[in-house]
Amino acid sequence: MASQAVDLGPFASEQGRPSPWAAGGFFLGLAAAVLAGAAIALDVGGATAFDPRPYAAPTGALASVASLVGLYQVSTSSRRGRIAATWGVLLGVVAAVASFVHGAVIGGSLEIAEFGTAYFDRDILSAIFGDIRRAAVNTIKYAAIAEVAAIVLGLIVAMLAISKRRWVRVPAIAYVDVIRGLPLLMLLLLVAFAPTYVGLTLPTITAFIVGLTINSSAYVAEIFRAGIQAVDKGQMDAARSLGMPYATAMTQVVIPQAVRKVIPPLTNEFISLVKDTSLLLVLGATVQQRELMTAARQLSSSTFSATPYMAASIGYLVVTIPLIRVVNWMERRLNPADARRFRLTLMRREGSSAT
Amino acid sequence: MIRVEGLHKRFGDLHVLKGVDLSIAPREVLVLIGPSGCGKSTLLKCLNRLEEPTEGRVFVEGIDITRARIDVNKVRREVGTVFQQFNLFPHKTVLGNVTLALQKVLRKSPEESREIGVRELTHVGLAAKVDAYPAQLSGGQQQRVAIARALAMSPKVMLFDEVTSALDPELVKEVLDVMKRLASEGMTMVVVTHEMGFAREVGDRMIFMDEGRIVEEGHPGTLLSNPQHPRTQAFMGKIL
Repeated sequence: MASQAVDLGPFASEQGRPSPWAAGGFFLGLAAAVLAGAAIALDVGGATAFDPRPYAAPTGALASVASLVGLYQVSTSSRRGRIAATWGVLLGVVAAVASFVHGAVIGGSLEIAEFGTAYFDRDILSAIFGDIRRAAVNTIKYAAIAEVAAIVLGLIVAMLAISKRRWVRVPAIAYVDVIRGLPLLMLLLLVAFAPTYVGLTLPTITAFIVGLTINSSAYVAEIFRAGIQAVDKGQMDAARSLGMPYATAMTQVVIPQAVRKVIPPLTNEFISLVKDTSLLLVLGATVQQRELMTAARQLSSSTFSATPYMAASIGYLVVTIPLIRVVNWMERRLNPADARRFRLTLMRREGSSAT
Repeated sequence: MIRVEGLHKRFGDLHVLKGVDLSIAPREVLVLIGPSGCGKSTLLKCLNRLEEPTEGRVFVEGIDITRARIDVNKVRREVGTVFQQFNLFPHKTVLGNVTLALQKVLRKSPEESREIGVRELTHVGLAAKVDAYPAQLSGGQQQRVAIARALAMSPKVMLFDEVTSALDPELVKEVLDVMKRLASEGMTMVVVTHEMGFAREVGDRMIFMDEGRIVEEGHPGTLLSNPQHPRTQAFMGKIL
């Protein structure tokens, strides 16, 4: 590599030739940024010789596309080319979006102040705060109940699905396939409305949680099945060779090891469940029962504002983002190579603080 | 002690064992050798029904273990197995590995299990490591724990399936030393191995297998230095 005769510069492509896409994208991006800046300056500061407004957004879009192609071409070969193309994409996108929003504001179809109050009206926010908090608690409650029930049901289904006996395995696999193949909304409607036709009245929330549980149990079963099958087969052999019956070997040796592997995907499943509770909107709920989505919807129509949606969105994120971070952290710890690096970092830290 | 009659094993279309007959006397150390894929590991697994024989019968202490009604878990208590990949339970301590089956299978009290566990671990020279986890041990130490784990069940026969093949060369000796001592104490052993020095020194009898059949058997010294069958000669030529 050191003996390379020609320096191909920052826009070198994978084949060794300069990438016109990366270069073009970069310069188009620059041009778009200048045009967008000029367009905004024109409306803020007054007259210029030439009206750049119609050109800024298309140039930005072109720049983004060209840079993306360039990025693809140089992604593996040239670090500097990669940087140029990345800047091309960024400048292009920013320029396009800025001039588009700018145009909408100037054209009168977007009022910044009204936009702000629609989404963030402080008075409405303080009025609905109690409702949103109660709805957030309900969201977590429904998701947690369904998760626990789904883990129990899913583990049973998973154990059946890995059975050596065909007549045990086939129904379990069929259950998982059918449930995974149906939209959750369909499942919820089936569970919620079916009993009414035979004269039964299932409380809405009960039906809702049963539906969520059935749906989630299929995914949880798949998670457990994969986790159990990821445990080395030698573990089962070793346990059985010591005279342990199958069930003992499972509960004492295989499942304890599988649990470590399934905790991150189970947490992911819980995140999905938190979001899936929003489908209660379709079944309907009382003020006391409603979760974030239903509350937001009802409060939005009574206040004629998008603020409840924003508040509920923040409610979801407060629950989901910490969980997402925890999953990422656990996955890093479970990956042996990363785990080693993790320990090394700790050791280095201890070592440096000792000196 | 163990008698095998007309043993066949098929995996689908693959015919791995094509009629194996053999018997192992009490206190005997039988060494199985042969090229990879010849069926020695499968044969070993059939001796405690970790693999189901397709055809033929296996007697352990006069009991036909291939019968459908036999309690296979009882059979396996009598037959200890040590694997190439150790297969220690990573979520248990060294002592926990040795005592798990004592408690869950033989229903011994925690105190008695601990006593037996420490005794067996002392036997393999790992008394200091009882509270360590398998991942903290070298391969040789892990394999010695695996031997202690099998011995804790007081088996009548021990099966060793290429137990040194996954070890770094400098760790092989500590495992072979444990096995030598076990043999000298009178344990009945069936050993699949590529360690010819060990086989010559410890083995009472050696069997050469190829393509699912026993090709030649005899005293290890004789078989190693003076093989009669051309296939045995070819194999010895390659490895010695």
